[in-house]
This record gives sequence, structure tokens and C-alpha cells, in this order.
Amino acid sequence: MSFFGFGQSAEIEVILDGQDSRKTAEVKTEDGKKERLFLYYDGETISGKVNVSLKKPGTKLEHQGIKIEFIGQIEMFYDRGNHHEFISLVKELARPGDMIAHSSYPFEFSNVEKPFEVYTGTNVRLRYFLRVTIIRRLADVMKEIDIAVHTLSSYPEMNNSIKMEVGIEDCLHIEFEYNKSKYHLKDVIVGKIYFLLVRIKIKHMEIAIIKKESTGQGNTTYTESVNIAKYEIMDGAPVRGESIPIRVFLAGYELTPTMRDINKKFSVRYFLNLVLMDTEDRRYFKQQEITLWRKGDKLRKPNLQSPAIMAGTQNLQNTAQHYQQQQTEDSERKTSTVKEDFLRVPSSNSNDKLNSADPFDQQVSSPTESPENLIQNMTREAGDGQNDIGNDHLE
Amino acid sequence: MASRKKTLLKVIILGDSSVGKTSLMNQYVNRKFSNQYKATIGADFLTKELTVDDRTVTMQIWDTAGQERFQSLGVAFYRGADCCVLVFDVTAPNTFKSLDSWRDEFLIQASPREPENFPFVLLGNKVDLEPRAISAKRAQQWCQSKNNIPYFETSAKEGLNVEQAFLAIAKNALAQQNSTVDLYNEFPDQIKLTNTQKTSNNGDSCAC
Amino acid sequence: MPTTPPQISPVEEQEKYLHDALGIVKAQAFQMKRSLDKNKLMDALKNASAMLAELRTSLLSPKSYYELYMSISDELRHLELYLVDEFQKGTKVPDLYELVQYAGNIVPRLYLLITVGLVYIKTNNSLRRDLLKDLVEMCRGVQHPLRGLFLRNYLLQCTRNVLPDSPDNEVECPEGTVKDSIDFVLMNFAEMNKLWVRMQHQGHSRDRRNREKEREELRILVGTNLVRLSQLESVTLDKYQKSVLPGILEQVVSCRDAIAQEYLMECIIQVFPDEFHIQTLNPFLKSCAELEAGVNVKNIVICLMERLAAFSQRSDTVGGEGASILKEVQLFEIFSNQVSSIIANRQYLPPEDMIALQVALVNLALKCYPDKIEYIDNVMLSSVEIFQRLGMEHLESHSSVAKELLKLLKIPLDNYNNLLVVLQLKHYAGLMQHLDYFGRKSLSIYILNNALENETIIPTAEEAEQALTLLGTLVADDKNDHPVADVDLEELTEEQCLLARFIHQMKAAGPDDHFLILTAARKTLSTGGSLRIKYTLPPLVFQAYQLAYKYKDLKDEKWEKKCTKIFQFCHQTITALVKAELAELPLRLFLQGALAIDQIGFENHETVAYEFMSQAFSLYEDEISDSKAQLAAITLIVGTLEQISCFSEENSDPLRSQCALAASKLLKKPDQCRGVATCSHLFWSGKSLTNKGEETHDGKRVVECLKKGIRTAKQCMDVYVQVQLFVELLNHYIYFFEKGNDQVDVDVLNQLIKKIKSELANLESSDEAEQISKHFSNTAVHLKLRMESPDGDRDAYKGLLLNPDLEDEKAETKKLEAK
Repeated sequence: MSFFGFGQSAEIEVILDGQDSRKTAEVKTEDGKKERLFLYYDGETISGKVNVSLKKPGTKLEHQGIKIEFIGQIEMFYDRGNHHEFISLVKELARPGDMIAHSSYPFEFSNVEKPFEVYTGTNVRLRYFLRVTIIRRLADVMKEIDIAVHTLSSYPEMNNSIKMEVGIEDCLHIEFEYNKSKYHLKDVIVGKIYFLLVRIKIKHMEIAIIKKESTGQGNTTYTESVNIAKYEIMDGAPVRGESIPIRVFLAGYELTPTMRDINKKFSVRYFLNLVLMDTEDRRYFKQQEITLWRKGDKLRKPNLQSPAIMAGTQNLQNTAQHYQQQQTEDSERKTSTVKEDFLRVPSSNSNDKLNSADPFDQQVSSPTESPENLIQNMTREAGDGQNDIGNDHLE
Repeated sequence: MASRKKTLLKVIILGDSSVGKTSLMNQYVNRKFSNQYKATIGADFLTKELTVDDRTVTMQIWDTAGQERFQSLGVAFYRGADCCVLVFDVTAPNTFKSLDSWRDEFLIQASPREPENFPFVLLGNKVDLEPRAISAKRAQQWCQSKNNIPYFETSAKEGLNVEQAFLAIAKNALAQQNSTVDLYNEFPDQIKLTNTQKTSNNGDSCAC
Repeated sequence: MPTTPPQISPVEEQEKYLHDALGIVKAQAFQMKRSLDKNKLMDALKNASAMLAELRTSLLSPKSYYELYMSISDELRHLELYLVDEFQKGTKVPDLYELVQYAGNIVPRLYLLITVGLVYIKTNNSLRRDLLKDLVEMCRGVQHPLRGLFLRNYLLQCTRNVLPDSPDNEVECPEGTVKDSIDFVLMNFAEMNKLWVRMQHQGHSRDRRNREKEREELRILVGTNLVRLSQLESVTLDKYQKSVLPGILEQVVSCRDAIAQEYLMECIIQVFPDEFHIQTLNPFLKSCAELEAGVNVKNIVICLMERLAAFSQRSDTVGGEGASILKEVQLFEIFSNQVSSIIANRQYLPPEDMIALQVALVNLALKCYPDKIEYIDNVMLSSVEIFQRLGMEHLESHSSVAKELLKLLKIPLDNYNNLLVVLQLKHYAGLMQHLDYFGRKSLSIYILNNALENETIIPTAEEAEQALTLLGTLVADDKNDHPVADVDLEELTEEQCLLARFIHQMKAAGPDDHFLILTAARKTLSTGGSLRIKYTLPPLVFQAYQLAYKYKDLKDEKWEKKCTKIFQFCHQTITALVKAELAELPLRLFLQGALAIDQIGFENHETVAYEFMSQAFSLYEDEISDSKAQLAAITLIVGTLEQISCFSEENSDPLRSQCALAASKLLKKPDQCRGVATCSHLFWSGKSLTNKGEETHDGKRVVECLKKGIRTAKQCMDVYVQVQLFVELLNHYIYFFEKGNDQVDVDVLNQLIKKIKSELANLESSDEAEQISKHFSNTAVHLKLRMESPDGDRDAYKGLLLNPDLEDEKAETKKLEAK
């Protein structure tokens, strides 16, 4: 940290308490690489010690004080200069004076509030770090250490299934059901698609998990959509009465909890996009928001003894009969099933190729195919359009 | 390839309908026999693990329909067989007469590399029944004329000679497999070629 | 995946596509196995997935796809083997079942899931039931018929040996019981069948034929489900009756697809054992009645009947369980009832199929219950009812329904080879009436041939009548529908000859009964018209004559009266022929009758014989006009009369004179000559009561006849004929000479010989001349032999000149005339 290569300089090292046993989490850096950081939770004390070692032993280091800060900040990639710190705590480690030998300073931010989870997206980054500064007259000596923060949630009190009847008049009517509206990050989406009317030649059907990141506010909102996963759930053309099972394991994908209006700066939301493609490569899709949350993963996880790996089908048997039964009941009382329209996209716009390289490669991120683009070109069949999630209802 | 611990052998059983193909397989694999007649349609296999010369092998035994009309999709399952078992009924002369056509059909459809050396084994089944129409001598003569095919007289009903016959089948199949592996030891080179092609096509598959 | 609509490519491209795909499979499989050798499971799974991705193609025909599938599933076996090995060694491959579910494409994903699921089941039974349920459910994701069928076939193939096969019990069992297996397979079956049926309705209608061909190819995949069910050992008869069969049938009936229904029903018959079929005939056949219009139900039912009939025969020889079941189960009744309800319910069932079903029923009855002829009659009756209901009469003989009916009617004959048994069938004749004229005729001929070959004797009048009723088309013209127009005489002759032969087989053991048969037969046969009766009545007459001989031998109380009656019968019968404007035939029959009467000699026989002779004469006089026929007839009459000895002078004289008179009145001279010469014998060897049955030997009248012959011969203009006649007359003379007629001496012979010789010399050489001189020289040789013969006759020939001086010829001839 010396501009001129002379004078005293120091190296700062931060040792966190219990760091050998602390869990780490992989966090993406701004340039897309991944690094492992020590993981903290909301309200957890961050403590440790700062070691300052002098590079030229025997020579004193003159300083205006030593401090440690704990900072949570949001960075917009398009507005580099402006960082929004939502947390900034400072502890003074040493008063101004001279340092003669290696010194060590304990610190503690007790029960510190960490309301948000670390995040690195397309346009925004939320990070936590500790910054140690040795204040000097000419050039401060500084050291930053990023930490990872995960926000844990408890099991949501309300977690209804998502059930909806959608269609294009006289063309295609389906009912789909996802077993929940809120999924934790290692959860399994279980559901089924029931075909009520099929007059188009369907080629296949897939479920995509779309992440929508929006930054800014009002007129300057930017929304970026990323396809996190593309998962074929049906091959071929079903006929009326078919019921297709859905089972998507989330653990394998790179997901974050849903983030809503984080510090009025950005949101990250997730959608399940059900896409049907016909033999002329027209696409029909329906997006449905799901909420992702992070579960305290003390006891991860179903092992092979657990039927969770077969989640769903045990209750889905004879879906068709089940459904027909229900249909007759429906004729008597209106169900809560919402009726909506499908979105249909003309074939010209589709460059959807299913031969995705490697099914075990979970980093299926193909930003080439942004749903927004599709939406702009869509031709919508008759319908009231009220519930078109696809349109920009995003703040 | 030979380093893998387990060897998989594919064996096809052929012969006219009701000569007892299914019964032979059931007797060998499950040690069960039933007098009830159920026609086999299509093709189906059972597997059996056994030890041949200190090697553990898994024998995949394909039982087939004797009536051709039941093989509506053809006989693609002949491909890759290591041994073909021909079965006839010693009390039914017609089933013996058909052996030639079964053998020819197999060689045409399975198209093994060296048809003249491909291992067959002949089983004369139902020796528990009377009256006998095909003598052992006659069957053996046929076998001699076909490059010395091993011949066994069996009774699926009484389990007679079944074990021995299948052991011989396994040995022949194993010998066949070893010889073809030796013969085509240039195979890995071929694959390497394809391999490089493949990786260049699927570059992204390695990017994970 | 190509963006053009997927469709099967032409054959030449198929091979290329397949070849390419197989190349990729080979390469990926090699990599996979190498990864496994190095224990790099993730890499191996990636290779497996890439290999499986080839199964996503839409470019291959079912057969090519099958080949690809086979080669891939062979390779997957290596993966499975490795995994089982690893699991057994205790190596945890954590969450493999979840891991493979990350595969983005559904087809490779599900193949891997099944493979891994199988490994789990093999290594840990406790999840078996749930895993099976999960797998069969997850496969719903593939709705493409071809790919779905193969995927589910893979599921079936993999699970073959791990399906729970323990009997049900109340206890909850995570390993599953046979019930779980049944549910599993039935569900897979229903899904596969749906996919298979769906193929029919996809794509252009112009491709229909091709599509149906492909469906036929793929059917084996669907059928394999039934094979699985049949392989479960805990599927007892009870289970089969209560859950397996109803489950299958429900699906089969409800899919409403003809191809599927026809195949699956046959499949059921093939893969399940006879012991089960016998006990489930009712539900099975009931379902047959509910199948689609296009389904060939007939074939299905027939297939089942044939299988059970074979089973019945097998059990008869082997004995054992089967035989006793057969006794318990009213096989025939069930089939019979179900067949009628199938016929009643299936409006579109073509009538020929209905009859074909009856054919099968009869075959079943004959094989399983050969002694129950009433079963066969039942079938005949229900067939009659079918036709009545359909209002079908006179089935056109080349129609398929007529052919089936013909087949049906022939079966009892072929089986019993006994017309009498067929006559016991009450409804046989009625059923036969539904054939048209030609059909009935062809069957009649068949019946006749059968009876003739087997020499079936018809022993009663009643049966004779029945038989002739059956053969109605041959016996008489049908007033209703016989196309009278063009009768093929040759054909008719052939038929009637058969019938005539058959009449000879109508004979009772007792003569009285036999007579009844003849009376009955005549009653029917006499309606046949002139063309037929000339063939059919004579055998009756001859039989009657034979019967009369029989009575003569028996000599029972009233035999003479009976004989009179018989000859009355014959008289009437022959008269019928006369009325049909026949002449020669009745003439012969009368003559034959006269001979018989003469020999039998019952009371009053002379009168009867005279009547017969006089009838013959009147026929000769009134009906025979052709000169050759006249000569033949007179020769016959003379011959007959010569034989008969029962006449008194009062009757024999007029008859003889009548003959001579008739002969001399013949139109042509040569005929006159020969006729008169023949008559000469009546006066020599003819017998009558006056001579007490001895020969008449009236030499004078003999010579009168011969002289008249010579006179007539001389009047012939044709020299050849003349000489021929002389030679013949010479022979007559020699005959009487040898018999000792004193009116004939050597002189007479010499004169004649001389005459012949001189005439012969004048003949120009020709074939005719040659023949005549040969005849003469033979005669001369005879005479010479007699002259030289050592016995006493030698003297009688003294003075006979075999080589006379021809110069005296004219004088000699004159002398002869003077005598």
C-alpha cells in the first residue's frame, strides 16, 4: 500500500472466530467466477481478530487510527459510483498512534442484523464484507473480506398448491397443478398437467424455471430474465383425458430465494413457465410465479430410503379417474380453479432446440431466449387478458 | 474391456413352437416346470448368473416365439448373440426338419462375423416322452454335418441334462466372445477417431 | 430435433439413419463402458444419456427403431450390471434415482430412471412396490406412440424378474404382492394400448394403410403385457377370473379399435393356459360380442374353440386334470350360447361369419363330444334360425355364405361317413334348403359319393324317403327355382348314374321291408321326369325282380301273392317309362320281367308273363321305328321267347308266328333275312307247356324260315351283302343239321356252299370281301373238322362238298329255289 516503495507498510489479516468449523457457501463474483465464503445468518455475531503485521519489522507505523467496518451494500452494475449501503457498522480497533510491532485486535459485531441474502445477478450485486482500515495521512491500508449471508425462512404458513385451467379457445385446454406455491431451494416440484381439450398437434412440453431480476424504480426499471432450467416433461402429442406427471428437483439448479423489493433497489423473482410446442414449432406458454425460500438445511436430505425421490406419483395414481370425478363435482359448484389464457408465440420466433447439450449439466442458462422477447411478438388468442402474467406487470 | 469383472453373454433359443423352449429356460433359471401350455409371443429374456472356469458370467437367455407371425417387429434381438441354441422335440419329426431353416435364418439375421465358426448348440428335448421319432444318432449326424455342433438330449420336465446343456452353452458363448474381442483389437483406435469428432461437436458438454 | 414435421422416411433413407444412429450408440457405449471400468459413474451416465438421446428420433420406422432400441438396451444391460455390482459391494451411489432425473430430455431420463429403479429393486426389496408404481406413472410423460411404446416395453422387459409374485395377504407389504404386479402390468398395458390405438388417428388419411402396417408391427409390444401377466405364478385361476381377465377385457372392449381388439383377444387365447380359458369362457365370449364392427370375431372364437378342442384331445390321451375339467364344464353349451348371443348382438357380422362360427361349433362338438349327435343337430337348428331371421333363402352358390354353409353341411358326412347318422339330424334337410339349386345339387352329389364310397346301406323306407328328399335336386325338377332352360345332358347322365348306383344300396334286411323301400322310392323317383326316370326306375325294377327271386327261395305263406304284387309294381314302373315315351328300355325291362316270371313260376304266372311279352310286342310295334332298333328288338324278343317255357300252345303259337311275321315285315331286305333266320330257332329250341317244357323241334317250320331267308337274300342288290347273308344262312343250316333236323341234309349244304363259292369268286377284292371269305373259310374249317372227327357223326357228313364244281352253280341254285 505504499506509493513510493519506501516507508512502513502493513499487512492485514482477518481471522474469524471458529472459522475452521464454519460453513462456507459458494458465491458468484462479479466476473462470474465462484468463490467460497464463510457463511453467516441474520442476527449472528461476527467476531474475530485483526492481525496487522508490519512489512519492515523494527520500523514504526504511524497511523490515524484503525477501524473495522461491517458493510452490507447493493451495487448496480450500470451505476458503479453509487453503492447503496444498507448496513454500515464501525468499530474502532486502535486510536491514532504508532505501531511498532505486529499487533492483534479482537473485534465483535454482536447479533448483527443481516436482512438480505448475498446475491450476484446480471445487473445487481448484494454483498456483505468486513473492511479493516488503517488510516494514514497519505494512503490508508485497507483490507476487505466478503462473507456470505443466507436468509433462512421457516416453513411458510400458507402454501397452497397452484391450480389453474388455461387454454386457447377451441384449441387447447389444460389444467395444471403444482403442489405448492412456495418451494425451498432443495425442494421438489410435483404436479400434473391434465389435458381437457387438444386440437393442436403438440410436439412436446417443458417446464422452464425463469429468474427475473428487476432493478431500479419507476421509469428506470430494468428487468432481466434468465432461463435457469429447461426440463422436458412430455414428448409427443397427448389426447384429451391424458394426465402428465411433473417432477422437478430444484436442488440441482442455481437458485436463490425469491427477493422482493430489496431495499427498494431490486427484486429477484422466479417463475415456472409451462411451454407447449406444436409440430409447426408454435409455442404456447403460461408463466406462474413461485416463491423460493431457503430452509435451514440442518437435515438435508432424503437418502435413498426415502420415498421423496419418487415424490408425487404415489398420490397421482389414476389421475384421470380422479379428475373426472372432480369434473362432475365441478359442474355443481364453481371451483377455485382459475381460468386463464395461454400465450401463443408464432413459430418464427422460436429457436427452441431441445437437444440441450448435456442433461447433467445443470448450468443451463441461455439468455439468448428471453421470454420478454417472446411476449412482444406473441399473438394472443381471444380472452380477457386480465391475468396475463407475461405482460409487464412488474414494478 | 476384459478387465471388467462381469461378463454378459447373450444366448438365443430357437426352434419350432411347442418344442419346449420356454420350459427349458424356466427349468434352467427357475428350476420349475409346468404342464400348462402358454404360447410365447415375441421375445423375452431371463438372466442367470453362473461361474465358468472361475469367471462369473451373466447369461442373458432369450426365449423366442416359434411361430413367426408373433415376431411382428422382426428379429433384431438376434444381433450381438454369443451363442444360438437350437431346440427340437424328439417325438416330433417336423421340428427336427425345421432345424436347418432356423439355423440359416439365424445366420442371415444375426450376421455374425464368422458364420462358419459361430457356436450353436442343439438340444433334443422331451426325451421323457414316447414314442421317439428322432434317434440320437440321427441328431448327432446332423450336428456333425454342421461343423460338430454339441448335442444334448434333455427333458425340461424332469430337469434331465438341462444344467449340463446350459453350461456347455455358456462355455461356447464365452469362447465366442473372447475370440471376437481378440480379433478386433483395433476397435479402440476406431473409437478414438469417433471420440475426437464427438468432443468437437459437443464442446459445451465438457464446459461444466 | 428437426423442425420439419416428423414423418417416417423412405426405406432407402431408413438404413442410413439407422446406421448413423447405431454408430453413435456404439461410440457412446464404448465410452460408457470405459468410464465404468474407471469407476467414473457420472461420466458413464452422461454417455448413457447421449446414447439414449438417439431414441428421441422421429425418423425411423418401427422396425428400424426396434433395432436401435435393441442395441441400446443391450448396452444398458452393462450399466445395470455395474450398478448392481456396486450396490451389492456396499458402495453408496447416493441419490442416483434423483440424479438421473436431472436429465433434461424426458426419453433418456426415463430410460435411465427405469434402469436405476431396477437396480434399486434388485438390491433393496423394500421399495419395490412404490418404485414400480412410480416408474409406470412417470412413463406417462412420453405420449409419442412409437417412443412411448418402446419405453414402456423397456419397463416391462426390465421388471420381468422383479415383479412381486407372492400371494396376497392382509398384511401391508412394501415389497408388494402379486396384486401390485397385476395393477402395475394392467396399468402399463392400458397406457400402451392407448398409445397404440392413437397411432391410428394421427397423420393423413392417405397414409392409413402404411399406418396400419406399422401398427401391426408394433402389436407385439402391447401383447407383451399379457405375457407378463401370464408369467406370474401367483395368478391363480381365481385371480385370473377376478382381476386379470376383467382388467384386460375392460381395456380391450373400451378402446374401440378393431386392430387392437382382434389382436389382443387372440393374444389372450395364446398366452394364457387352456385351464384358465375353460373356466372363463363366458366373460371372454361375452366380450367378443361387444367388439367393434370391423373385428373378425369369428376368427377369435374359432381360434379359442380350436385350441380347446386340441386341449380336449390332448387331455384324452394324457388324461389328468384337463380331462376332468372338460367333463365339468359344459364346453359346448357355453360356446353355443355365447355364439348365438354374439350373432344376435353383432349387427354387422357378415352371415358367412355366422355360419363359419357354426362350423367351428360343429367341429368342437365332434372333437370333444363325438357321441353327442344332438349337439350337431342343435347347431343345424340355430343355423336355420339365423337364415330365417335374416330372411335368407336360396343362397347364391358362389357366395361366401353359401360356401360356409356347404362346409357346415359336409362336416357331419366327413366325420361320420355315414349318411344314416346325417339322416338322424332333424334340421339337416331344412338347413340344406337354404342353399340355392346349384348348392343343393352339389351337396347332393357329395352326399351320394359319400354314401357310395362308404357303401352305406339304407335299410328302411323312411330313411330312403328322407335320403331322396335330401337329394331332391337330383330326383326331380324343382318347380320353384330350377332353371329349366339349359340342361347339360352329360352332367345329368353322370348325376343320375350316381343316383342309380345309390338306389341299389337301398335294401332292407327283410324282403317285405325291402318292398316298402322300393314302393317309397318309386313314389319319389317317378316324379323325376323322362330324363331322369330312365336312369332311376330301371334299378328299382331290377331290385324288384331280385326281390321276387328271393321270395321264390323263401317260399313264405303268401309268396305267390307277393310276387304278383311285385310284378304289378314292375309293370306299373315300366309303364311309367313307356309313358315317358321311352321304348327300347321298357321293352327290355318287360322282356327281362317275362324271363323272371317264367323262372319264378308263381301262380298265374303264364298270364303275367304273356302280358309282359305282349307289352313288349306292342312297344315293338307302336314305338320302335328305326330299322336297326327294330331288328335288335325283334332279336331280343325272339331270344326271350325262346327261353320262356311257361306258355301253353295257345299263347306260344301266336307269339311265335307274330315274331316270324314281324321279322318278315322288317323294312330292309337284309334285316328281313336275318330276322327270319333268327325266328327259325323259335321252332326248334323254343319250349312250351304242350311239350312239357321240351324243345319244339318243328323241323319243317325251321326250314321254311331259312328258305324264306335265302329268297330274301337273293333279292338284295348289294352282292357283298348277299354273300354275307348266304354265309350266315349257311351257318344256321349247319346248326340245325348238327342238331339233327331231318329237313336239312348234305345236299342243301352243298348247294349253298357252291353258291357262296361262286359268288365269292366274283367279288372284287376288298376289305369287305376279305371279311366275308374269312367268315366262310372259318365255317368250312368247322365243317371239315366235323367231317374228320373220329366220333360217330362222320357219316352224317358224307357227300359234303367243300370244293364244289362251280359250273353247276346256276343249276344248283335253281334246285334250291325249287325246294
